[in-house]
Amino acid sequence: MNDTRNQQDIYLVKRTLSGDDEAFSRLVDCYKNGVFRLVYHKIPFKGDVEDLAQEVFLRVYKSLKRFDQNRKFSTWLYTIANNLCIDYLRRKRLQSVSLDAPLFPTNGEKEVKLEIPDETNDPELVFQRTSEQIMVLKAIEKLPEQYSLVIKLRHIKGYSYEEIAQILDMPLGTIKSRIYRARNELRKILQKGGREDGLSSCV
Amino acid sequence: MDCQAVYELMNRYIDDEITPEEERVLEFHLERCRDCQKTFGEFKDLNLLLNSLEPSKNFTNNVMAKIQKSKQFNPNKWIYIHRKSLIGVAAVFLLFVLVLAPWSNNKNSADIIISQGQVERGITPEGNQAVTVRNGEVTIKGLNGTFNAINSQIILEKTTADLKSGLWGQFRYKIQNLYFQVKGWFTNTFGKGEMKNENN
Repeated sequence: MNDTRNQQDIYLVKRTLSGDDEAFSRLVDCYKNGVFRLVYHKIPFKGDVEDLAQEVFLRVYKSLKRFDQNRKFSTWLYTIANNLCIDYLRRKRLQSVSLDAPLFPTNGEKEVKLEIPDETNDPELVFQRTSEQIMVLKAIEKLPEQYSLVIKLRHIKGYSYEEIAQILDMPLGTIKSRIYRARNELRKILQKGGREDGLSSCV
Repeated sequence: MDCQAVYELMNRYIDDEITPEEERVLEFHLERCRDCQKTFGEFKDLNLLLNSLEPSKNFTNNVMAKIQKSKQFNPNKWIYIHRKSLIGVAAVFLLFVLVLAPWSNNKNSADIIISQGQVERGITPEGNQAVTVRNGEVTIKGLNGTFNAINSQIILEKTTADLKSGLWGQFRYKIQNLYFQVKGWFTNTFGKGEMKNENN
């Protein structure tokens, strides 16, 4: 099955190289979730995940000519994603250095390691969610249905308020106030969840 | 303003729909209400988490738009990438102008462009044609005769002046020729009310 997947990828790569950008957008569709998750695992600031994941595909597009078509496309793609994350972390490290780190390590002292350990070299990462993502998804499931539905449409499916109003055939104002309330409920659930976790770890 | 109303502003902030006035109201309240400060922080964290559950709906479109943008012609980038070939092209062009331009001159009909001044035409004692311009500006394109300029600025263009001074002279002549031609283009394009006069 993997072979068929890769054959299709290689076919789309060839189409892209012959100038068919539509073929590349299909590759993006196939791999955006995987790349997104990989990047999510690797970088600490989640606000940059989307941008960096898009950057990965831009890099892939530009280097496509250098891709050896006898290799597996997905492996090559995730290698690029991995390298871009490492570049990103290196850039961030240059900007932020821990205040606790000694500037000039003395003889007895080991230089403080600023490297962020990379324990996430597992290719399975692209199929996994982080624990905080799982926590949020569980919290969404705990919401009353009318709230969980709008939250999913808004934040997982990415629809705008107007689009949700159309889909559910409800006034825009109703949708907005429902999402506001849903967020508030979600905030409370997560807050409670966090506190419970804290208590249980103390006991 | 009560905290309940501020919740709406927080949501509008998260959705990037807040107006500058509303933002001031929100800030004003947050500075004074610790509870809302904390809630606002939680809202922002929650929003970040919610938004990074999945790639956005426009993910693929955004990627394709970025690709299109990167393909767009950017003169500075293009010049940087092709700087070596550009130098080559410029060199070949210059060589072409230097070597071939003098030959092309001979075929041109001789004419004089007089931009301003008094013009006198006549025949020299040797029987050659002669034109005299007083207080004027003249461009000569190929000269087959005698030309006198009195108190005038002379711009030579494609002159067929006979140079019998060997290789060095030839070379210098070519460079001068190029210079004159460029100057000629300038006056032809930007010169004031040109008057054309045949000299043959």
